[in-house]
Amino acid sequence: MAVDDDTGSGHVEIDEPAWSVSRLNDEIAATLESAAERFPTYVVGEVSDATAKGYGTFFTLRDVDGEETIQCIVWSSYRDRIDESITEGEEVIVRANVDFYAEGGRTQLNVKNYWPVGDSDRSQELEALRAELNEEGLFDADRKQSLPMFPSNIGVVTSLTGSAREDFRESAWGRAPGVTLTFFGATVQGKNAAASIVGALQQADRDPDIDTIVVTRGGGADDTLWCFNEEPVVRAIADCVTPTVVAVGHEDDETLAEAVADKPAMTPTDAGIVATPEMSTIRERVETIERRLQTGYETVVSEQLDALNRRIENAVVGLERAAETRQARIQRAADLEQRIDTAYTTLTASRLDAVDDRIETALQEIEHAAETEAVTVRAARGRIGGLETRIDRAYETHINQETEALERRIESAYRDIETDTDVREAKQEARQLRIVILVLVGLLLLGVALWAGGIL
Amino acid sequence: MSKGEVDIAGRIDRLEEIAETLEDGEVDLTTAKELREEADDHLETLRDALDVGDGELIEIDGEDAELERAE
Repeated sequence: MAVDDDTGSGHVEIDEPAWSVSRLNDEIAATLESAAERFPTYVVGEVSDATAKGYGTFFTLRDVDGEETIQCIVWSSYRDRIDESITEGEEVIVRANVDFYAEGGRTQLNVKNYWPVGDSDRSQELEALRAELNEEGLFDADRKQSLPMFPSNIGVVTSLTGSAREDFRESAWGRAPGVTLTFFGATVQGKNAAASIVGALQQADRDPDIDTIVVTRGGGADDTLWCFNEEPVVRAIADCVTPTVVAVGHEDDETLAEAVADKPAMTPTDAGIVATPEMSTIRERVETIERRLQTGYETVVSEQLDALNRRIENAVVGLERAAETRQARIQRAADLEQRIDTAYTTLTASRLDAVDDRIETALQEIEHAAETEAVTVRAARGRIGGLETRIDRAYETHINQETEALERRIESAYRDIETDTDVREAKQEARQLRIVILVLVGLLLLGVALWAGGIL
Repeated sequence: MSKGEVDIAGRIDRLEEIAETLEDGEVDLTTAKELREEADDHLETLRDALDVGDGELIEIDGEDAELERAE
């Protein structure tokens, strides 16, 4: 046997706080509860040490092939419904869940049903059918239909005379008093139960007014609930087009019908809760929303109107300022117009006077120039006239002188020619002189003509 | 319109959206008015759908029904 190093010392040092037994047992209970799905529903073993009490029967279940045991308890509420008596030494199958009794620190089986092994064929058939249906996917979550949140007509497959009918009606109408309940009467136990339930189910499923189907009955011994494990009933529920709710027996009863239903419920009363909305809550919610809407709307409108009012006030102030500015500009424009008129008038008059002065001056200058020019012209004309006279006289004088000189020379020449052999040359010279004279006369005439043209 | 044809849950969800939108206050007056009118339509429809009297109880008896054993 291993010995912990800490044992034997007078003082123990540990890294973590030590748990109390109570806390430990609570943790064990919580752990077992969270792992409940890992434990089987059915356990086989041999009964021993059975002790019957008023509130229940205790016994030990021993492993058939070994010495392992586990304590079991059947509470009286279940014991009274079990047809078989608990007999020591008998090999049995129990339907139970693992329970931890925290006060005593004991793990035990909480037995809900009990069969001698000789009767276990039914359980085996049940498990075989469960496996088959599971293989077909009839338990799959993704094939479950959602229930209508607000059903108008619930079809209820149950006994018309059983307590389940009233339990469901009270529950459903307590929450949704306006919903129509159509009860399809069916036999819910006994040999005809399966056929009756299937017939009622199919009738309800065909009814176009039915939007939810509830299959329910109250509690009873497992044998009385067995029809809800029968294949025709289970498949009929699975085949329903209408969403289904199944509530069979008490909270601890489990049937295949509930497993294939779109929504299982624990009891008929619970089925009423599952299948219907709490209309008073819905109405309260709608009223709350209505109040929120009213408040929200009023707040939005009020805030927006306030904002608009502020904008309008600002706009009015702006318009008033704009009007004042405009009026000031109009006044300024009027002033400017007045100033411009005045300035224009002043400027125009001044400039006109100046222009008049300039025109007057110019006219005087022009007149003076014209007079001066006229005097000059007259003087020129007089001078030209004098020059013409002088030229004419000079010309006549010159011509006369030249003519006389030439005549003398010609006479002399003639005399020379006549007397001299050089007469021919004298003639030639005379011709040359005549040409010169003619040229001079022409030049003189041309000069007179040019001079006269320059004057004009 | 019968109760079954009214999408009560959808209308309630829409009313919630409208209420949240108005409460946020990020809407103009025109939108607020349109939302309010839409909400009033939904509310009227919901009142008609929710304000119902007692439901009808119909029994269809099976041919071979047997008495359920009461607990």
